[in-house]
Amino acid sequence: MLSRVADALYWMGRYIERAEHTARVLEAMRDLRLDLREVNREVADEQWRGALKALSLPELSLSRLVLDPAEPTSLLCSMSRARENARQVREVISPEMWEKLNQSYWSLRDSVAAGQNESTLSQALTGIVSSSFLWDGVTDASMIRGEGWLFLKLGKFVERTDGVARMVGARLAPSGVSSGTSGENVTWPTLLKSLDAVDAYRTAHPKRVERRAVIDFLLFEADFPRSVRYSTATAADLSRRLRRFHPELGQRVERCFGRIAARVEYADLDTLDAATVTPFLLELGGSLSEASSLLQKTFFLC
Amino acid sequence: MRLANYEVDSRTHDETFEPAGGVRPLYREILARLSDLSAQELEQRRKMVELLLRNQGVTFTVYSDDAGIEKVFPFDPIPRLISAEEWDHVERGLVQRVRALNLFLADVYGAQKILDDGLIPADLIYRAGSFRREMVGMTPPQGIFTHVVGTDLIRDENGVLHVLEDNVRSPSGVSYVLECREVMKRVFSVLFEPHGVRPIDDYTDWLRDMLMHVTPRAVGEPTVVLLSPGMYNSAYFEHSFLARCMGISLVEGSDLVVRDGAVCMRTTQGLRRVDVIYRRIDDDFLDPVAFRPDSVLGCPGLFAAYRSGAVALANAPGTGVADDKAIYPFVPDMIRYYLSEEPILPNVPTYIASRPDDRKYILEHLSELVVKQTDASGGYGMLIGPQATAEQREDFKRRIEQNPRSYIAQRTIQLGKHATLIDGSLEGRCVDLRPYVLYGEQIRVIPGGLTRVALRRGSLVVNSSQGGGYKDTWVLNSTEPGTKEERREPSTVS
Repeated sequence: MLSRVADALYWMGRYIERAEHTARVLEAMRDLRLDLREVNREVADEQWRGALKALSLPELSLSRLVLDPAEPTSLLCSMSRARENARQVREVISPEMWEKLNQSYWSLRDSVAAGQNESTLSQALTGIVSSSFLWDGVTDASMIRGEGWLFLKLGKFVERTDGVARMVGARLAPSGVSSGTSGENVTWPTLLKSLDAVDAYRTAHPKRVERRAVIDFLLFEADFPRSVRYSTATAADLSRRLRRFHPELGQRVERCFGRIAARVEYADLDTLDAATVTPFLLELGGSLSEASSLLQKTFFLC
Repeated sequence: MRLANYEVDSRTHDETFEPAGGVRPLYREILARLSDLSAQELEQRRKMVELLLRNQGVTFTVYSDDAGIEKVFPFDPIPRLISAEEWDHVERGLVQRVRALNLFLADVYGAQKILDDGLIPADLIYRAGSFRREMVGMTPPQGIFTHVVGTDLIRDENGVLHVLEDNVRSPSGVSYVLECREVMKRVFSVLFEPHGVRPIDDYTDWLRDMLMHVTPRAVGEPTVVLLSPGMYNSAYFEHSFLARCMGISLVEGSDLVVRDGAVCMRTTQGLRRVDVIYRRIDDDFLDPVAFRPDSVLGCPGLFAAYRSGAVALANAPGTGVADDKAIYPFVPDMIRYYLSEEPILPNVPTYIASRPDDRKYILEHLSELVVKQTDASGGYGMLIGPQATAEQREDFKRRIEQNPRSYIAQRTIQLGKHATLIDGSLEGRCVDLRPYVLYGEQIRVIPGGLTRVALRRGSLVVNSSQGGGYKDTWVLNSTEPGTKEERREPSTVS
């Protein structure tokens, strides 16, 4: 496989996952602001700013963050970059994958053309999330399980780990929301919602939403597909399968991702609060970006 | 859909309707089926076609238009039919022409007999921008220069097909032909039923076979790649489409590197040797060492590797001299010279401004002629005499006098028309035809090709960059609709 193509696949996986994640977080934050509009505006604004920071987005209005074609960080632009990447690799992805992504792009363009209001924005956000689900489905149903598929999926799970870790980190950052306040009651469910984890969490913890349990679930739940543990374990598994194509080159990459997964799986944090979790997440972020650059150096820069 | 008010333009040949207004026999069945559909139904299906094409990314890029850089090539759902008899004639004519052009290139970069014999003035060749002295003395693998040719054909007032242009560099458009047939089958399957339409989906297999045939290295499975300028090129869709259909890598210049005299591509497993390059970038940009030094699209050292026989290029560099507008008038003579045959497909009568007599005639008859700048393409650098203003004619007169070598002129042919769906009813619009010819072990012609249609009323320009659209082209197995023959094997001529 061409190095340039492998690179494009990896980043396409990342862009699509990032767009899905961002859309979900923005939608959850929009709801939070509506709920807290009367009660506690400060908390709502602070959560909003925290989320934007975790997503590395500038402080702009929701409509610009979603559909502004001139704003490089907008979701429209992310989808357009994913599509440009897909266009570069059309001969290695299945025709159905391209068609699905292209369709999603055009329906976003159509909502820009239709003019923006509350309902088009919300539609665009849920549209992006379901586009990403459809994309995953089409990919799994139609793409050959070669190294290309592995690079694409690795991009997805590296991005997912990073996204979830940042959201948990943002929630733990020192803030005006003290425990036991009304803000505290809403913000933890919002965190779950922004990661599509509400129902899954409730099944595991039917009693109530509680800080320690939420953190534990989002970071260490082995079976929840958007937890840090699940994502790092999947990335490690994918890198192990790369060895089949690259017996020599793949060794260090595999070890690198394997170490991260093990570190998460066997993490032993007793209190699960800012004092323990924040440094843990910082370390995780660091080793994840190291693994990502090692992967790129090994396979994409021939 | 109503057919009653179709206007037949008496100055041109209409392929769908007879001069008196009746439907031509070839089209009776299909128009009957079309008229069963209501205007809304037809429009709905046309929209469905466009949506399918958009979602599949069958688009092209317009450079001058800021509003929408990416456009769906406008598609007309009324298919163009060609009878088996006429196609047989066209096919023989194209094969003859491509053989002669290939012999001409081998000669002009080899012994140059045709120049010695005075058939073509030598200075015409040497002064053509498309002549590559780097190719002199070079015999490409299997002796083939013109691997892929897309010849433009037009019909005159009497319905006779003429060759307007031989495109022997890297003609594009075939992906539209293949995609639009797929879409037509999905949306308008009802129209196919009464006809035996020759399939075209073998094209990419033929193309791959041809590319494998020219491998310079006897290896089990030669590595074939398609070299593209990248995704910002207007034909990028086609490049990726063809690469995908052939199961080969689509590479850009930066993916290639020359090591130890061989061309290699950079893969996740290190460098891998490349045997055949189907290049879709111009000669100028192939190799900054051999050609334009500022090119970043090509690969340094590529041409040297080609000359040493380490890699094959399709088409060969320097083929442009064969489709140069200044050389075009000589093609019928070439056919007689190399093949001792009479040309099967005629040229459009052409005047050469560098010949004093012709020049005098051109300057005196500017208002009746189409003048073409010999080094421009895509409908640019053209004067359509009858439609031009006095000012434009003055301008061209000056330009021709200053630089006669750069101009030829042709009689204005009233381009043949074809029924086309315009706002829910049929109107006649000008069409041309570009069949694709592959030169490998055999010479093969795709049954049909790209029919481009000038959608603007009265327009003669079919180029997509200037308001043109396209339609599906059906070569029928038999002339009489309804009498289906067995699927004919693609005809081949060795």
